[in-house]
Amino acid sequence: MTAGVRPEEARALQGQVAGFVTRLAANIIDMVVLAITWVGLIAFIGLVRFIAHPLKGWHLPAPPTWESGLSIMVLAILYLTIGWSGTGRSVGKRMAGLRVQTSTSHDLKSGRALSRAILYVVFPIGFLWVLISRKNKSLWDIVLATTVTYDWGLRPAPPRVAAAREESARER
Amino acid sequence: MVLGAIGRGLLRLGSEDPDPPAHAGDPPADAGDPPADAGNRPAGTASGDGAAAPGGNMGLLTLAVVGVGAEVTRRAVRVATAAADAAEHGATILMEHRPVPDSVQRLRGGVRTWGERGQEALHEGGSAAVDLGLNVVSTVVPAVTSRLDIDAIVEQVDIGRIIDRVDLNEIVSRLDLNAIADRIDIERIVQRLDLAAIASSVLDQLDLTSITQSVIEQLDLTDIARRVMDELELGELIRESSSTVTVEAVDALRVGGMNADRFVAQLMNRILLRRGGDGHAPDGSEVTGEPPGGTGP
Repeated sequence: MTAGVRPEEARALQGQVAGFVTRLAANIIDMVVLAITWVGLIAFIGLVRFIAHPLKGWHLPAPPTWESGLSIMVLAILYLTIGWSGTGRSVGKRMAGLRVQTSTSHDLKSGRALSRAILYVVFPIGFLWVLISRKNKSLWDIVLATTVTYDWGLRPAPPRVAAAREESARER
Repeated sequence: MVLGAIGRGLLRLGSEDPDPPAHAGDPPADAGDPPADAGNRPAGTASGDGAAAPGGNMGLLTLAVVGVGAEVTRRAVRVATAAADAAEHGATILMEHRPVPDSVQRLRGGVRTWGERGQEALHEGGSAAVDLGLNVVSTVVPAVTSRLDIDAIVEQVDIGRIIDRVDLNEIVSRLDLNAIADRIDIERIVQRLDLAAIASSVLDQLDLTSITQSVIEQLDLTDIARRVMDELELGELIRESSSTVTVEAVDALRVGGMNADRFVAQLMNRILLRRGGDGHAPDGSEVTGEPPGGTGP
């Protein structure tokens, strides 16, 4: 066992390829966000229906399973495409401090982000390749030449906080 | 006849020499009645003389006449009374020896009558003298007061000295202030006061706006606010809270994730019997080394 990563070292690790645990955590957070969004959407549809036909009473829509599955998949693809294109950070990756980039460290364009999202949703088991890969690549990372790196996104902030602390300490 | 002679003599005495009463007292010794008449006259004569006297020292002359008249009257009455007493005494002796009882009795009655007349004359003369004196005073006093300079007299009065003599402490000590206070009905006074009107007038005269403005001008709220902010160190509080609550907590989680990543990678390396399972990143580089920018597609 090696010693734990200190915060100073963690800052030095920014930009390196992320490991399995952090990516899994990011994916779980994304799933939770998707679930909440899905439930909210269902409730919204039920509310609209209730407003349109109040005599039918209030009840949540209960679509067929295939319909639900398809809707969830479409919703996930939309959500991940939007999150990964441009900044390369969905909500889960933002919280986990990760970033999706091309192998040449460029931001993903919407086409590659959409492709990655479709692969992610249709073949999720491909994520386990991260464990096998020496470079922590999932299956769709290999196919689409993308990579997930550590990027806390707040790199400018901690030095600012530290500078502010030092400044206040000097004033005292 | 005899009475007239005595009256004239008395008149002469009154106008020329007020002193010789002995002379005047003698003649009526044989007759007790004339002096009463004589006492009656001088008053009238005196007033007549006073009125006829020429001007000049008229006031002084009048006073002299009054004085002489009063003295003459007094002496005449005394003479008459003495004569009546003597007559009564003689009559009493005569009555004891009873030589002429009837004549003595008659004489006694006459003497008594004349005595009563003398009393009346005395009374009338006194009142007449008082009237005359009052008349004189009423004429003399205005003349005196008109000549007196009252203002000058008043100016000579030293009011300060009078006030010095007044012992105010003693007067105050005599005053029962508690009793006075008990008599004052404070509630009635308060009821009479229109407090609302007083308050409104006071407020009207107070320019609260200008007072407030001047107070605010003198306060320098900006400086106060700045000092309060300095004391609070609000910025540092916010920075600390944000860094503590969000950044540091999330950083700690992320650091934990990194550690877990490294642990899982090492574990997989060992499972897959790969090299570099001791502190090396999955791509073979050092964990703290250069970023894995060269990861291939």
